[in-house]
Amino acid sequence: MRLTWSAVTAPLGRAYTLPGKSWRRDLVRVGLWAALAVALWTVPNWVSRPNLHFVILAMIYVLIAASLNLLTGVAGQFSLGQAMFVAIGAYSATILTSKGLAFTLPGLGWAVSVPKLSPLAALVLAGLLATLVGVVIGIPSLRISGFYLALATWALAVVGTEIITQWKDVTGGFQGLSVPRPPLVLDLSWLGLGMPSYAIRRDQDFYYGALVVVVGCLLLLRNLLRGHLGRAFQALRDNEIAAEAMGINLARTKTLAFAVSAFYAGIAGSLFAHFTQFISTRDFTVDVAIAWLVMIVVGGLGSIGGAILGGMFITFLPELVKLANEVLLIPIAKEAIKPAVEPVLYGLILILLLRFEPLGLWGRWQRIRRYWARFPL
Amino acid sequence: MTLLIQQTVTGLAVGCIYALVALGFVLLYKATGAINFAHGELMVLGAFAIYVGMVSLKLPGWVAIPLAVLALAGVGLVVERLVARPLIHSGIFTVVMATLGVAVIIRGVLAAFLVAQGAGDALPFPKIFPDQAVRVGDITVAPVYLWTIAIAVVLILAFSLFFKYTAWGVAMRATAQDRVVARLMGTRVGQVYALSWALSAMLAAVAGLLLAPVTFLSIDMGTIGLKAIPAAILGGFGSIPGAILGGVIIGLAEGYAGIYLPEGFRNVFAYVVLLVVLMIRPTGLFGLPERKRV
Repeated sequence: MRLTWSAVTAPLGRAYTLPGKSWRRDLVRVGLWAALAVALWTVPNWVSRPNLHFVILAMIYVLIAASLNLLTGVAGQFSLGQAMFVAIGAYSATILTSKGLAFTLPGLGWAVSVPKLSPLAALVLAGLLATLVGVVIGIPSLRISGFYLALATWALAVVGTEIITQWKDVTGGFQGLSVPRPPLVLDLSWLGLGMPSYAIRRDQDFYYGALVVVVGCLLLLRNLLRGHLGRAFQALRDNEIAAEAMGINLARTKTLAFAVSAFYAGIAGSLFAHFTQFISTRDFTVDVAIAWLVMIVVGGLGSIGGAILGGMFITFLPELVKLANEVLLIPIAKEAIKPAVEPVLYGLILILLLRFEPLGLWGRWQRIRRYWARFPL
Repeated sequence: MTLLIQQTVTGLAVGCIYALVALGFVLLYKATGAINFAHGELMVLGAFAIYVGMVSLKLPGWVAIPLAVLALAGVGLVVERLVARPLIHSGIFTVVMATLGVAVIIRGVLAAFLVAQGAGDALPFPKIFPDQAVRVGDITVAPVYLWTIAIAVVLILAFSLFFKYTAWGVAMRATAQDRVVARLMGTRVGQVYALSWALSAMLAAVAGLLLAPVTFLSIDMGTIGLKAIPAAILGGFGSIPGAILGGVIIGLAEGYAGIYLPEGFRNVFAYVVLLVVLMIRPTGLFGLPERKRV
């Protein structure tokens, strides 16, 4: 058996090789991926402190977009309740790392107490708790679909937000909770890479932690989408009855879609809470969930690339608008127009993309790439 | 007991507003199959248009209100032409997202308007209905509520007659049943769509006119407008009498929840109802069950 370039690059690029592909193209691909990895790893070295803040935020949004894109874009389950999953992740991670949780179940008199946990354990536990909620929120999907499902998840999210608001002694209600940065210290000296230990003190440390988590999650998601489960999700989206006829267990697949999506959202929520260091119900309203839907539509439905572009879009658009306001508008227009610029731009981009490029920015990029595919290389 | 009766009248009035919003929403869905998530925003826009007419342009109410309603019809036509019609063959997800885009744009424009007025989050709405409370025995009712009930009843009756007896009403019902066949029978489907959007937006403006005196004039009014969706679902999505009954039931239920249930329930009661209906009987009270087709 010969070791070919495509065998080496398969985990990075396509799982198959197109006819006429040369080893040079594979070489280019490996080079690009390596450059990207180096670029990502050195981001804190060449990005200024305030911009690093936005980079980390963008990564968290990418994870949220990936979770929503899995559920809505790939599996076709129209969800307006995604903010709930993220909220569960954020609140449980906060409570578990800061004070632990102790309360008595009303009515039953059972005392529940969970000790203070390390941030890593809390990260996983937050994801699992969100999964649990995701399965519960997914139950309506077994009976209804499409617009009705969107409404059901919407109603659940409104009710959930109200519960968080009212359960003041645990969640802080409207006032919100301030979140301590996790006192995470990892000993990395055994790796022998010259990194003695890892502790989260500055944004820069947080960046590496988030990078590992987000990239890891995205790679896992990519594998999942290529496997039989990912194909089952797509079949579900395209035609439920046909999917069932092909032997896909609808109930199981739908519940799994909600569970996996909620797990990712929970992890993103946990990162979000620890990064922004303050959470309140305002971060997880239905409007926020709608903005996230916009994020995946603009980025690109049903693809990981779309999630990445969407997460970047939602983070950087306000900054770009701010910049554009300073540079362009203030000289020519009155101050009063300022609050309208961002939402109007947002809405216009959304409508135009839906009209002319339903697969979003990622779809457009794919088109451009296909157009240049025959470029001699 | 007094409290109960008073709450019933208030709940009925609020329910009538929900019913009007739901009527516009369902009308549009029935005729064009579009679900308009910007309907709440159209309602807010209507209320703002009335404010502009009466306060900024200092027109009398009987001029400003019809003008505002007509302006909203225009907005409805523009949205239909630019957003809804090009997406006529797309799925429900695309249409919902596009109307959300419209909602975001309207909200942005209104936010800029509020800033221009230097008013913070909310504006006081000009006085349209008399202030003097009406007393019947022990019960005091604000006239706004009585007017609301009266206007809602008149409009709902007018619309039922319109659907039943006018040529346009029949054309709308025909299009709702089957777009292609209606076109084959000579119905001008494009015009029916335009008319549906215009009517729906006008209904939204009237609902805004009735809601704004009760709340303040703010962008968040749209959230209240969204409660029309639980109302429409409860009545059975696509059924106009159902939408009206659903609106009234939700309004009353919210009123009672405010008295008898702990704090917080009032805000979410409509959504609890929505959830229960979707779980137990997704077709609502009057809806017809949908068959899935391959």
